[in-house]
Amino acid sequence: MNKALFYLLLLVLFPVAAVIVITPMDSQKQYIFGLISITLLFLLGLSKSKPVSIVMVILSALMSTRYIYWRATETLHFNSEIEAILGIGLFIAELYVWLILILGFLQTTWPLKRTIEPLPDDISLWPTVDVYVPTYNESLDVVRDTVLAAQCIDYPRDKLKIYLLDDGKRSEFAVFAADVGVGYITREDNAHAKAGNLNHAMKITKGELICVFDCDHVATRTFLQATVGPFLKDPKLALLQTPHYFYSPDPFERNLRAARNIPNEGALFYGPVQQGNDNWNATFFCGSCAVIRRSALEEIGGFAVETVTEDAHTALKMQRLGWGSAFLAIPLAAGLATERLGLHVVQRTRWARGMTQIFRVDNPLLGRGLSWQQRLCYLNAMLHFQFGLPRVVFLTAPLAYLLFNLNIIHSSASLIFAYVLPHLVMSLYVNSRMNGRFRYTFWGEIYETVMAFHLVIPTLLTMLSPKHGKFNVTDKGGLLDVGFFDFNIVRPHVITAVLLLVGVVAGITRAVAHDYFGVDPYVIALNVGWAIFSLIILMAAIAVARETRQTRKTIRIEVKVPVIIHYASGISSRSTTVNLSMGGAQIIAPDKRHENDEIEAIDLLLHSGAICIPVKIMGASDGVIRMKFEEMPLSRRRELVRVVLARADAWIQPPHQPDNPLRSLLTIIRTVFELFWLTWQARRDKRKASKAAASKVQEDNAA
Amino acid sequence: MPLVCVCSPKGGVGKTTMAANLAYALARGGSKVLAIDFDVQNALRLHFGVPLSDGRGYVARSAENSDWSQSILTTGGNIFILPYGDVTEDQRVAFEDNLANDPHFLRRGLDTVLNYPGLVIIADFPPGPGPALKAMTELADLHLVVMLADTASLSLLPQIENDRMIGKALNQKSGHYFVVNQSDARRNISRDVTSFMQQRLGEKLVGVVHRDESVAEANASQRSIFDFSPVSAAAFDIELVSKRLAGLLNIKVGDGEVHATLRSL
Amino acid sequence: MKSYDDLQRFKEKTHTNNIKFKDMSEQTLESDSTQWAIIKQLLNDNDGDSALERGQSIDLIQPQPINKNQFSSQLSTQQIVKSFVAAPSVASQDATLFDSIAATLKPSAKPAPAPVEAAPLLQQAAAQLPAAPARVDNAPRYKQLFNSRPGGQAASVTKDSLLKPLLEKIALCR
Repeated sequence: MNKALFYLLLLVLFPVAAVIVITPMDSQKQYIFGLISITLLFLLGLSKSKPVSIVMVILSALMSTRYIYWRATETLHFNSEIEAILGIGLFIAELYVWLILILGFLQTTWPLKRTIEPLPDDISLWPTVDVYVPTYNESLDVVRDTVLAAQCIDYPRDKLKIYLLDDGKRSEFAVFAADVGVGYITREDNAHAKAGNLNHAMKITKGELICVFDCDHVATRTFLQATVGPFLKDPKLALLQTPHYFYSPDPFERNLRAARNIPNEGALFYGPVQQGNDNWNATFFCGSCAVIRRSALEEIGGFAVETVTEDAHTALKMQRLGWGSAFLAIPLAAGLATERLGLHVVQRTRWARGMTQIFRVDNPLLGRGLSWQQRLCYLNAMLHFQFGLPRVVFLTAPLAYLLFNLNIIHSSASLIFAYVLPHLVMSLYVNSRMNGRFRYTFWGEIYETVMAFHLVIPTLLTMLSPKHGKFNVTDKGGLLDVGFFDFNIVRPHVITAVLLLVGVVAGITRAVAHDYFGVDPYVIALNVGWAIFSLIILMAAIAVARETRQTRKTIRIEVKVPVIIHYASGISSRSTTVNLSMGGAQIIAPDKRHENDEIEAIDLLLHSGAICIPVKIMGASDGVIRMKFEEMPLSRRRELVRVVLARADAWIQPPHQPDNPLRSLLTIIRTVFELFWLTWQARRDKRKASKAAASKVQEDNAA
Repeated sequence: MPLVCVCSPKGGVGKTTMAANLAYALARGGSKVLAIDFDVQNALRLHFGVPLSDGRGYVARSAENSDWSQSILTTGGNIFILPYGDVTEDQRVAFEDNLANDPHFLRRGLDTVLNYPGLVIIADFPPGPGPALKAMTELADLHLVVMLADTASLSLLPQIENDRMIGKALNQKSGHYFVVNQSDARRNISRDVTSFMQQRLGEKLVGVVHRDESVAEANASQRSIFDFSPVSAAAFDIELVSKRLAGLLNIKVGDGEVHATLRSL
Repeated sequence: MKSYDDLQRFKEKTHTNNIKFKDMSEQTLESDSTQWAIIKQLLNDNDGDSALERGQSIDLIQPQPINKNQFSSQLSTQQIVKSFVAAPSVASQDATLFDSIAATLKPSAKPAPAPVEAAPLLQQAAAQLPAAPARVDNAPRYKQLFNSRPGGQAASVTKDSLLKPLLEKIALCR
């Protein structure tokens, strides 16, 4: 559609849209209007085509805008100062949500489904690449496999240089780098943390492209052949970002059983959001698993050091100078998720602070070099991290009426409901349709609720004073060998939940005796309903704090690789693996020979080569033999990495089932019940155990 | 009709066992298979259950009896074995002389089986050059050279590549292919030699058979490796070799043809 | 499944069957296997000859053709017996070395009669070959120790030399 026609259409439709947004109606008319709109939307939803999706987006946007307009013009009348403050606060929170909704639609309605650009057949045309693995205080155990995987990348040896950037200047790392044959770079100071580290390395290396991997991000062998192609095709391309895939469960997947079968928290960002950004040339760097053009970095003076999210800021600077960026939605590397909820909160707080800093220090709405779509996409990313305060407001808003009898929305209950219903239902439905495979309904609320209380102060303070303050929730890392309930993190959640519970009870009491109290039961119903929904979300968020015991030592990856089992008697049998890890393997038992004949070694058979590993049997049950790998020299470990972690197809999963909002809600409710059930069960088991121990002590004493 | 010669410039590489197990593999694939032994060691028959004391074979009377198929043995099923048999030194010498000097000797003796449609023939030979191998060059469809995964075998590779094993090309039809036997990834030499051969021989290498004691045990039990230990790694590899051979020789099972049963003793 | 072809699976899962990804895994694997002498020689079969490439370690001397008269018929069987009995090669021994060996053998009553017999035979043989071996002896004695090319003078060290007499010979050269 050419531009003239497009603008003509816009001109014609604008008054129509204005009418839809502005026309005031009484509650009955609004109900009918709302229901008709919802029905229309559902009918449109039967078609799967793209243009219909766009129409649905427009409809939903219109209804939400109508809601906000009504709120702005009709409901902001208050009877007291406190009501005014709370009421305006609530309105601003809703305005925020509306803005995010509109920007989100803009960002994700046209995702760019980029495919792999092949490299030319002539290897001499391939550019030189430097791989940086920056590290500071992580253990060698973690970094080792990352370096070994980088060595397994299929790229000509003379064009690929791998560097270990050690800010901790540890001798064991230097020895390791020499052993395995990669470059080792240190610097005199540790200024500017990771960005400074990378900048220092840039000064003494020469590759045309720079590839950054965090110290626990193992690359697959096709990483470079899948990502370098576009740099040859487009001389203005500065950055190609790939998803951060986690092969260990994040705190949600680990602590909530229901979260294991749903798309995980990162799926939305590393899917529709970055793909949407890609469409508007607004993809930003995420710190790892990306390839960057050196000349672009040099033009902006190296990686950005002004904020704590140096990655996004670097991309913004490059884009201001006219460079392009791209996103390839194929997991080509994998890392370890944050091990505990505490660490998760620390990490996200840093991101929020960083993005807020960029907003203040290098605002995308101002300055030159960016298209308006790029500005809006960056704005959306930054505004997203301001969700703390609005989320808290939404959670606690019903308390104003239920506990303190304050009217913060000047309207009858039925009118509110008539306006809110289409706004909520349609936006939920449209989002579910567009991004349903990447984020199930209501889970976004849970992810945000977990973080909300912790983000309020850091983001506000950083917004006011971007250069100051360091708010690190101190948390020690390491393995959890017993489960525990991280009460510290969810204290505010628990307090709020209790208040909401009190509010619900109070509300129901007043509704039951509404003549005595002289209240409108519909208003109470609305507030109680809102409070119950908030309560469910809060309880789900609290459930995440129930940390389960974990043995992170070696993560098992399910894969069926053909294997040859070597017994001590000289017999060799063929079988297949059930799963593999860097510490061992589980193999289908071909027969019962392993019960009498010791297994000395196994061959794992990849098409590109077989690797032979000495093993020790740990046990066998249900037709599966469990074996452990002994200590091995680095060259063999590299081959093991090639099979377990650097396999080209290791992280590519089939897409999730499409979303169903009702089913999603039921899953969440079930999760909440599970929290109670499991806690009660754990306590009962503990009581039983202590009773058994006590009675045993009695027996011992008696005897 | 397809005739495969299993040979090797070196002794002790496992030719005979390989020939026997390939015969079993092809029979499992649905073909009728005849295994012929050209080695005076007379070891091929043992893989097929022929008792040690049974000295029947075709060579002793090969001069007078011009239809060697009379000496074929079978236990039913699709596998047939033509053992070398017990011979006197004179008989052996006469046999070799005939092979060397009479150009039609071999073809005459095997005439019946060579013309039998759908019969796959696997022939086992003594190591190195010999009159039987030389006489086979016009008749055989394909030669399969067996090598061990060690440098002793590897050092003879140039000999074969330069047609110096018997002084001329081994085979005038589909040529010669290789199989590496007893490869063991735990042993440095074995691993390195196997990898070298894979790179050097490319498509000419029809398979690598892993070292597996089950093969020796199956031999000792006089059974097919496939019956003896279905999960054996070597069995898997030999099966792959047989499939590859079937492809190279255009052996088609399942085209609807019905062949009359082979007459045998 | 014969082996796990991860590249092929990657192509199927990402619908990129048309892209020819290059498998470069041999780069890290190949460095180990070319340490063996025989494999090295086979690899250089097709390439040009280079003594350095044919890489035998310095403690292995490449065998050279022997002196034509080494097993000459003049001395026939006696020499052959001698060479098994009194190890040092006939062609290149000094009288002094024989003497020293004979000296070590004679005093002990234990050694079998054969060595005692052999000593006079050796001396006889040594006497019988004064001219020809001697001339060959002195000149190439130094040369043969450092010459590794077959084109050089006929080396007079045969495969049958024992190590000890050889070392003594080298020591004598100083």
